[in-house]
Amino acid sequence: MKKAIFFGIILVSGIVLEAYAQCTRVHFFCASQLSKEQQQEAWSMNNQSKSAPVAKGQKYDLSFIAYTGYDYRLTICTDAMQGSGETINFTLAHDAIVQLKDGSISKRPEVIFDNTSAGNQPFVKFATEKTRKFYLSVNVPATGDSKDKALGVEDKVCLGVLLEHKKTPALGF
Amino acid sequence: MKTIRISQAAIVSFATIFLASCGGSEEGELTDITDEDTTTVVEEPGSQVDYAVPTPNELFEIVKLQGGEERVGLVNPVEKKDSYVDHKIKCLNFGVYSADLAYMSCFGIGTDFLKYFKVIEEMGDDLGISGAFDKDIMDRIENNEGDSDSLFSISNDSYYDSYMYLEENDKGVELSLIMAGGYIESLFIVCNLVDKYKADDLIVEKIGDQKVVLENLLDFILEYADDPNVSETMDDLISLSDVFENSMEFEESGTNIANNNEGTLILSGGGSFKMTEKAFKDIKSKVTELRTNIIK
Repeated sequence: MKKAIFFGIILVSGIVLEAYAQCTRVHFFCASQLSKEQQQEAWSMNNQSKSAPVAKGQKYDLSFIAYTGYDYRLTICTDAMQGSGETINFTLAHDAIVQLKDGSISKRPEVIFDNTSAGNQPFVKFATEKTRKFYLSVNVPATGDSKDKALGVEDKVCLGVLLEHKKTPALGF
Repeated sequence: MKTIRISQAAIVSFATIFLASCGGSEEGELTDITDEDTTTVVEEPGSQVDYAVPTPNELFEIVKLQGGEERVGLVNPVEKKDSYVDHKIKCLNFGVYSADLAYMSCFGIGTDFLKYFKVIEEMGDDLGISGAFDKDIMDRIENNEGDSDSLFSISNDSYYDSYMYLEENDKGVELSLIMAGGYIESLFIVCNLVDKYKADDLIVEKIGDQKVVLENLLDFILEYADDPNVSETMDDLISLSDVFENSMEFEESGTNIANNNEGTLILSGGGSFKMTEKAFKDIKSKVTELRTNIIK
C-alpha cells in the first residue's frame, strides 16, 4: 500500500513538473502582480491567453483579436525569480490599414501603448470601437532564472500573457 | 506552446485585415492622447509570431449581448456522429460539435447539452484526446442541468482544456482541424441568426468581424500545412477568406486613441472593411457549402 502511494506521488509530481516544463500555464499566475484592488475587479480570463518558453533577452510576439463591446486587460509575467531588478517591457500595437493612392490596401502595426512610458506597469487596459487584430511585443528580461527547474534550459524563462475581458459598461442613463 | 514560423509573404497572403464598423458605442469623458499622425509605426512582426484565435464561446457570448436570439435546427444532429470515421472528418466534426455545445449553452438550450457533450467525449476518445476531459465533468453537467450560465462555463472550460491538452501533447494537426471545424460551425450558426441583411445590424457586423478572426486562424494552422488534411482544410478556409475580401467594402477614417477615466485606452476609427448585403449573402452561402461538406 505504502509503495502504491509512493509511486502515486511520483506519478502526480511528474505530471505537474511536465505541465510546468511545457510552460503552458504561467499566464494563470500573471494577475498576482496586480494590486489587491485590481485582482478583485470582475474580469473573465480570455481563452486567447498564452504561455510560452522564451529565450532570455529575446522578443516575443503574439497576435490576438479584440472584439468591440468588451474591455480588455492584458497582463504580462514570467516565472523568473524576482531580484534581478529587470522589468518586462512590452508594447501593444493594432494593425492599421490604409488605402494607398493606387487603390491597394496597406497595413502596418501602430503602437498604441508602451509600458516604458507608464512606469513599466505589467498591464494595460484597452477597448476598441471596431473589432481588430492586435500585436503584443514583449522584450523578455535578459536575467533572472526560471522558477521551473524542470524547464532544463538555463537561458529560457516561461512567459505568460494573460488576456482578460469584461463587457464594456454602458454609460449614461 | 507552439511557435509559428511564418514568412513575410505568408503574413501578407493571410493577414489582410477586414474590420467591421460598430456604431452605438457610448463614450465617457475621453482624453485624446494621440492620433494617427503621432502613433508609432513599427515594423511588421518578426519571423516568430504566435497567433491566438477567439473561441466559439466568445463569439456566441458577444452575439447574444448584441441581441442575438436562439434558433432551432441549426446544430449538427448527434445521430450523424457514427458516420464520421475518417480522422480528418472526425477532427473537423469534433470542432463542429464543440461549437454547437457553446451555442446551445450560451443561448440556454440546455436539454441536449449532455447528449452533445457525451458525443464530444466519445469522439475525443477516438482521437486520443480523452485526457483533456476532467473525470468529474459529467457530474458537473448533471448537477447543473438547467443552469445555462454553468453549462456555458463548462463548455468554455472544456474547449479551453481540449485546446491546452492538444498543445501540450503536440497534436497540432488535430488542433488545427478542430479549430477550423469550430470556426466554420460558429460562422454558419451566426449567419443563420440573421433573417435579412440590415446595414446597422450588430450581428451582421459580427459576421464581418470573423474575417480578421479567420486571418489569425489561417496563420495559426499554417505551421501544420505540410499535413495533407490540414492543407486541404486551409484551401477551404482560404476560399472563404477570398469571399470576405472580395465582397466587403473598404472604409477609411483616421485612428484615434483616447484614455477614459478608468485608465482604459479607447481605440476608435481607422481603416476597416464594411459588410454589404452582397458580402452577407456570399459569406453565408460559402460557409454553408463548407459546413455541408464537413457534416455530410
